[in-house]
Amino acid sequence: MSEHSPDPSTQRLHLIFDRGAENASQAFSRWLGHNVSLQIGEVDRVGLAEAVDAMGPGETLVAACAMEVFGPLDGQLLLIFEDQAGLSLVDLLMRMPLGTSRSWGELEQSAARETANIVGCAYLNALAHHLPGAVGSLVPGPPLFRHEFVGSLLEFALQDQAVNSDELLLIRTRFRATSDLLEWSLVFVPSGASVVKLSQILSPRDLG
Amino acid sequence: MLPSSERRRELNRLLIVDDAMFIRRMIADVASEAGWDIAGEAGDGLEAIASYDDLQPDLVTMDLVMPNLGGLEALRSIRARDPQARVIVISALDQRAALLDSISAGAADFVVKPFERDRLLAMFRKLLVQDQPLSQAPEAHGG
Amino acid sequence: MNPASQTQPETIVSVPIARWATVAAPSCLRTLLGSCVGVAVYDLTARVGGLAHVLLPDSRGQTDQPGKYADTAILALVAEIEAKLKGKPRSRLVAKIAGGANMFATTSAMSIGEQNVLATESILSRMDIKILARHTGGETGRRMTLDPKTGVVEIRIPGGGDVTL
Repeated sequence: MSEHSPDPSTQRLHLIFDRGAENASQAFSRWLGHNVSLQIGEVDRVGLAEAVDAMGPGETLVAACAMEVFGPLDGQLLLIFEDQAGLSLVDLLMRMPLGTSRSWGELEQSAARETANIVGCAYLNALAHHLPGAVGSLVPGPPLFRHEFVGSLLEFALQDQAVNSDELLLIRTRFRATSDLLEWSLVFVPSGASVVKLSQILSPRDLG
Repeated sequence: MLPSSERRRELNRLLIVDDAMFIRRMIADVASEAGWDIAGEAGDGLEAIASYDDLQPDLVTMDLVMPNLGGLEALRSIRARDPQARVIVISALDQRAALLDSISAGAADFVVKPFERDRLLAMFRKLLVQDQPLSQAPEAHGG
Repeated sequence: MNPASQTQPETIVSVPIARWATVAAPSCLRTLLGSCVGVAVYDLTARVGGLAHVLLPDSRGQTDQPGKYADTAILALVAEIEAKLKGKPRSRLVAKIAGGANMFATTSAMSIGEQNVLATESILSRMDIKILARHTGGETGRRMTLDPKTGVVEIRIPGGGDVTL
């Protein structure tokens, strides 16, 4: 959990993003046909260097599907996984024994991108529904599949917020499927303008 | 071939539009089981419009979030060219605005991903039966 | 920022985002880049070098985070290297740059990555520091390592092997 003591607007943020994470994990479970449990949901306000290391050592090579989010709360949405967890996800989807998929061919990448689309949309559907006021649609762009250093990936995503702030907001959710250690993380990085908008719509006077 | 069966085959041709090959394969699998003939597939809205013109399918499944041209724009364009076009939107975007926009653009139905296979199968079966003129329903012909 | 003694065995000093560091051989400097630009400046004779990890092109007069912007970071980097050179001429300084990638194909005229590269090139040119090599643009991140003993900059691309500048 976040080290910072939560103020009312951060608590409210937590509640709303928890709904997103919950909806995403339910969609993930239906999509995989396996129970996907929500491990952690964190709303972090951290410095630049900390933000880039938020998913572990920056040089860690990960597979990721990156989506731009359009609408009144824009930003970047990243589904991040280690190669093996990603390929296991493909095996689960294709109803094959774990370990069958060994490399990222076109079909495997397509399965990963569609998973990101489904999980990402479920997340955004809940945010659009629960954010106070009529925020309108939150629509992801088509996911891009990448092998990337996790630090570089976060740097790309955080760039927009960093223009105007040295304290960055990122929202992390970790999922785990079956009894095996198959973990995937969903990271939402709002744009700089969205961070301002979030603090406005979640200000304490709107509580209740 | 009998004229009636010719006519019937013409009414079960499906165009699947989705940027994910994986989903196209899933939908094709379910639709084939329901009796649909997969006339073609398209990976974005531009391909969808071109394929619709080429293939003149009886039914289209349309994803919304796609590169180059999104499904909503493709749906509008297809309906503008052919007001009789039957298009089912299949999208993970379960938001009021997406639903209303799709319906006002002329979508015949809206299916949320991840879909349940059996429900999709039932929908494709129902649509196939609806498509057949009463005099040429599947059981009615046979020479 | 993180000076290493010349008597120590070779160490790799990691440069965080929006910071810079200088070292003398046998130490090396390393940073991880996305849309940021890594600016390596070194004096091969003195075997002293520095690396800045620039996040944005222009400070617009802000002074609180000099490492964040190309204009302030490069000035600070060069000043720190000159201090290490103890009066030796700046004319021997040369540069190699990397990074400035753009993960999403934006529709805007120029990505932040491209702006970072242009700003870096222009500032180095104004300071009469020649850019000997560059590895910029594209869609992927880079790990950049400077060895001030040889002036070699190694670039590692995720899953794509190493490039030597």
